[in-house]
Amino acid sequence: MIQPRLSDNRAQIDAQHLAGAAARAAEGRRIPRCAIAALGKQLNRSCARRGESYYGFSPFRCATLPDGVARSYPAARALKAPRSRSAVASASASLIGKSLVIRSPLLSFRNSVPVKLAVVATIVLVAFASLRMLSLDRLAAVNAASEQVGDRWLQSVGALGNLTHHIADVRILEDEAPVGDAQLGLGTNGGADRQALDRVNKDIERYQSLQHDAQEQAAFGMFLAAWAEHRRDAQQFESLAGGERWAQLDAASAGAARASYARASDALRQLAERTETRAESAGRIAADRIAEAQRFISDMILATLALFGAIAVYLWRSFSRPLLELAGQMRLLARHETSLTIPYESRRDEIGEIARSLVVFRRNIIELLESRRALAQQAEILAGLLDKERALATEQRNFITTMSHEFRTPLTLIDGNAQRLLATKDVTHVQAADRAHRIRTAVFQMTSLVASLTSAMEMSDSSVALRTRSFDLAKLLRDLVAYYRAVGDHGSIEEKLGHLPQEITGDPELLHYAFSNLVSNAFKYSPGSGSVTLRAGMKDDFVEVAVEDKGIGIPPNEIDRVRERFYRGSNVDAFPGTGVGLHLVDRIVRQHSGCLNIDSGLGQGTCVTVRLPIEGEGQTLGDQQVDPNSLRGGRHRDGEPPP
Amino acid sequence: MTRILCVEDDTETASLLHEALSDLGYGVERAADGEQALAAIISTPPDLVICDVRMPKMNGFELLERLVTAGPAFAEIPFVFLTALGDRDSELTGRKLGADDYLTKPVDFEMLGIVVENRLRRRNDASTPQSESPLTDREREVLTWVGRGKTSAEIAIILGLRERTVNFHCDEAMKRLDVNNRTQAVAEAIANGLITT
Repeated sequence: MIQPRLSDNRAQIDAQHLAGAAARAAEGRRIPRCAIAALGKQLNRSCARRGESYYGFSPFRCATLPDGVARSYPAARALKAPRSRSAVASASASLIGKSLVIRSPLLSFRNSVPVKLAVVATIVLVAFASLRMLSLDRLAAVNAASEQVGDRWLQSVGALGNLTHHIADVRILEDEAPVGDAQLGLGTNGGADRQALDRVNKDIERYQSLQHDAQEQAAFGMFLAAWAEHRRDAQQFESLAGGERWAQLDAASAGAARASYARASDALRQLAERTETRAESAGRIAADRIAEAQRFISDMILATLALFGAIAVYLWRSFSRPLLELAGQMRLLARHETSLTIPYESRRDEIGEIARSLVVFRRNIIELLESRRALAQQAEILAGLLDKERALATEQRNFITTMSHEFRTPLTLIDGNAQRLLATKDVTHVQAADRAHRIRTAVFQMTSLVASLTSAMEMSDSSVALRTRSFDLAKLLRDLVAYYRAVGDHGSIEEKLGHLPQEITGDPELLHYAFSNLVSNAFKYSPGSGSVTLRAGMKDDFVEVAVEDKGIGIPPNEIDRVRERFYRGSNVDAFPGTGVGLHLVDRIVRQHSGCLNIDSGLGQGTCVTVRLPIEGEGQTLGDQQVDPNSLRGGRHRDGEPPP
Repeated sequence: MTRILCVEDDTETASLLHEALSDLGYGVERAADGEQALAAIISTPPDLVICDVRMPKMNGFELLERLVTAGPAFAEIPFVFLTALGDRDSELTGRKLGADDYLTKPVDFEMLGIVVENRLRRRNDASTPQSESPLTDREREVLTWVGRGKTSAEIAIILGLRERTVNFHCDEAMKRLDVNNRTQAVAEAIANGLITT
């Protein structure tokens, strides 16, 4: 299934056209043929642009189509043109924004595997049928030949043999008759005579009832004629013998009967001989036929076997082997060997479909591998950038450390000398002592700046991860306010703590730093007797802590910038500071998935609001999991507060 | 006389320290780098070492490491770092090596005096039973500065601690002295002779 990606403009226009056509089709209106052709071209073009093959749609694919397309199908069918169907189908698909089964132009029903198998099956059936028919035909011929031998020739030979035998009986009776008449009385011999004659007549009838050719009939006719003549001679002789003219019973009459008998017998013998010859040859022909039929049938069986072999070879070559080859290619692809060539791509059947799908699969794998390579490259680049960033951070830290060191060394000398000046016994001059104190105050201020800068750098060090746990925010804020009240010489601080959750999740150290910094800023930028208000409350899943002062405020166009590192407002030149504090506060708040909002008016005051989630993100560490040395190290010895 | 070895490559700083510590009544010897210091300590072990970190030839960390491996007699000498390296990593390194204290420059000589005194006393007390003091050294140090009107932030910078730590020590001192605020704590401590102003 290929999903049409109508991404480019042209394709979108095409899609609109097609959608129009689909709408017309759905309403049952006719789409002009030329419009359909144009739409088909457009669709083809857009498909070609996408490197896809497109084809229409067949009823049995309908089941796999989205509902809308399936519904539009009857309307499409009404158009009776494959191109219009597909146009409507694709248009409907793009119209409803779903995928469409796009068939390859290469796949055709005629070439599909079921059809091929059906053809093979038909060939097998035809082979069987013709084998059976031809075999039966041959067997029928053999049967006919042997029947002829049995029915005609053997019976004819038998009939002729009987006839020969019976006429010989009749002849013997005829010869005996005169002697018997003379000696035993006339007519005593008449019964046997007639019986023999009847047998002869039966034999003649039997022979005549058999099938004969003209030659045989002619020969039999001759025999009948000779026999009839003989019978006449024999009757004549009998009648002579029955009368007084015994004397006339001479050799002439007996000779005529003998001669006619001989002729009849001769004719019969010739016929029997001929018939026997014919029977023999018919037997030979029948045997030949049987042998021939056996040969033919065995040939046919061999041919059928050969056909089966050919079909097996065909099935192997055109289905099994390609499938196995494609399966092998799939295995290779699964091992990400993409440099293989995929065969059978142009076949117009299911195997071709598999091959084409495999091509798509290979393309996907190549793309996947490429994107993996690209990702790996990107990761490498990112790793490089990260290293660079780390190196930069280290450099920056080293720079700050060195800078701090280089500042502190001369400050030590200045402060030390001021201290020595104060300690000198002869400095009685009040003014000198006062000036020494002023020097020390200035040094102290500078040291504070350096210290705050270095501690800020330490805090912003990315290696310091959040150490989140549940803690009481209200207590933290109250302690903070109590502290600022206790330290005195700042202005007044008012706390307005609303309802707060018992505990929130976060890093109390960092949040204390952040809120302390905000309060300290509020005092710092409220010259004179600044009054600072600290408010806190709960809203949904968040707590909000606001620190408000009535100080100098922040210039409106700088509000967004004051949280940048080292950025200081243009109106704070008179106040010592590094421009790191608020940056760190912002960073700490963001690390807690919170947000920092600054609301300020120049000369009116500033309100900084911190919004923190109650259930902070990050791993909550139990106290016992925290290694006390990791943050504070050796300082823990003198009764350090637990981290 | 208590002998303090001052290891400092900057001659001006070294002479200032010499001057200040001499004033406090200590005998001060000087070494310009770690190698010199190691030789001096091994030949005549001092009572306490005040040592810079960044120095030529052998830095302070290396010196302390050598001393610790040299033997328990040397390892027991109180060792205080006094350095311009104020970052956390350096302090962690120093304290992990076994330094008794880590002070950052610029240093208040009075504070240095207290630290030195504390370290020396602690060493002496190691043999004798601990004196019954209701406050720790740190708490006394912190209260001293509270008494001088410093804020926690300022004390943190002076003592090289974190602000919260300073607050913690204050609170502990207040609890131990059974008072409610810092001013009372200072007054109580002075009254008990725990601190001087």
